Amino acid sequence: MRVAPKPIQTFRDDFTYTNSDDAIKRFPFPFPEDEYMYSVNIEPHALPGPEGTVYEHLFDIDEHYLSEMAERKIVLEENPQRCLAMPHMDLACWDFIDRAMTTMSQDYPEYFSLQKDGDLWTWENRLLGIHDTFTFGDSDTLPQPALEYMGCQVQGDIAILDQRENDLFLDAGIVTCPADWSLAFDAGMSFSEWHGPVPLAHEAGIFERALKYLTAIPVGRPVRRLNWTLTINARMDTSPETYPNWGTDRDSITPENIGAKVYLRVELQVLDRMPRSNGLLFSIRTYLISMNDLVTNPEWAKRMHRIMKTLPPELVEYKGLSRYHPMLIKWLKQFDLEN
Amino acid sequence: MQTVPTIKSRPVYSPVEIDQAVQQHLFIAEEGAFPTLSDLYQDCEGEKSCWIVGQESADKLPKGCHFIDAQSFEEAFGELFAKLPISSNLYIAGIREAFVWDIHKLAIQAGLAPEQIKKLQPLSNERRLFCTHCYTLTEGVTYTPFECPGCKRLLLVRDHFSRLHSAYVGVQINAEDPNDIPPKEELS
Repeated sequence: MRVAPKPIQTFRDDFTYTNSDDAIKRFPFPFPEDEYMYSVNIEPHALPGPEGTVYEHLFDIDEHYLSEMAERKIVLEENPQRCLAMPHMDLACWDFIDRAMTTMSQDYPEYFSLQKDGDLWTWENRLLGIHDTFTFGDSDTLPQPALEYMGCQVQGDIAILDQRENDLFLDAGIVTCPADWSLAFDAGMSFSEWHGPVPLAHEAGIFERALKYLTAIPVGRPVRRLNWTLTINARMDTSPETYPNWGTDRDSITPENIGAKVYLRVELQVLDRMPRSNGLLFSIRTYLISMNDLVTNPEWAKRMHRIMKTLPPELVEYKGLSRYHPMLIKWLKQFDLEN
Repeated sequence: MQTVPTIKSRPVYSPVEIDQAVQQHLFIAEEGAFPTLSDLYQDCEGEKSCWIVGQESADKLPKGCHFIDAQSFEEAFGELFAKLPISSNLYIAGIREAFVWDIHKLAIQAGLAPEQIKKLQPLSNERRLFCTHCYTLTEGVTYTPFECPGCKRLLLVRDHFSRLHSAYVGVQINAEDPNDIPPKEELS
């Protein structure tokens, strides 16, 4: 049975966010081996995926839906520039609306419905109480800019990449829960530019191969990969913009609070070709799980210990773990005594 | 000699040569930067013109060279670039790296291909800085950490570069521990 969205919890201030047992069970644990290193870990995202998993549908709607949509609204009110779309991306934004409304109304008919009368579309989102009729492709008929309108109805960040000159450009996005990257600064960058700060992977040729793969994605054949980092508290908005608000969290970890305060943050990244604009929809769906919840699965607990123990120092630094990484290894050791 | 940057968004400037097969050559220099272009300008046998952004300086400048001030070059170059024949090259020399990329952006917007835009290594280490916290842009930054004039936060000046903003990104250096302030360092 699918978990229904629960009442709003917070990702800031008092951090009331929790995962149910079902949410823990379906958490996309990202480590297939005991050691982690960058690889071109891209695979086909064949839909529908296994029932009940985060891979079942193109847009995964789970128990945190209302909480994440409320959080997104707060971020955008604080800083409207967390959503931007360059003028040439208008068609791609409508591609996104089409893809999201079409799949969500099919995948979750109890929550969403879409009726089409030629270009006159009627969309209902019963979870958020939205009911709008608009002309497809005409941004003036929507109550908000196209990307913001739809982006505020799907969980996870959305970037839309323009494809030209055999490259991908970050020309539109709604990014309110990034793992420490700024849409306002990275806007307009090519694939290799916006990955500029990532250590080790350039030298390993990862981005060159990934770009070749991504520019060749055809319509209707989405691909996915998992990415991960650690976050202190269940904080969705770990953007550089707000880093002054959350930087000190990293200095607040003690052996007593480490299980409750350190979260594994996993991004399910899906890339999907847009048929009208030839853009690539890049959705970054973030899942958070506390160490205490993670170690309820003994296999995950063991592996997490081994991953942390063998993580290259460049990645410890890049992912911002330096201040508590040794303490975390020590704490995880209790679940992996033989190692 | 420029070292290979570890952050891949940081621009690398390759040596520039004149392609004599190209029909029209447009040379643009920030005030004081023309000397880096003068050999190329002299070697160029094709149809050529030269623009200086700023005032006349002590530099030896070619005859018939045009002057334009920093406030009006955007519009003027926008129009100029749009009228260039398809077989054209642009050569840009700047004291400041931000100048070079501001012109580059205008040229791209006017429809020039990246390979038509030849950029010389900027002459100074001055950077335009984008504060990632308050989005303030600051010109002429030469050391790190640097206090943002917008939000007063002490910023680590990174090598991550945006061609859209012609700027490097700055991120608060002591956000995790207010007392953790490294000594000032000159930027490369």
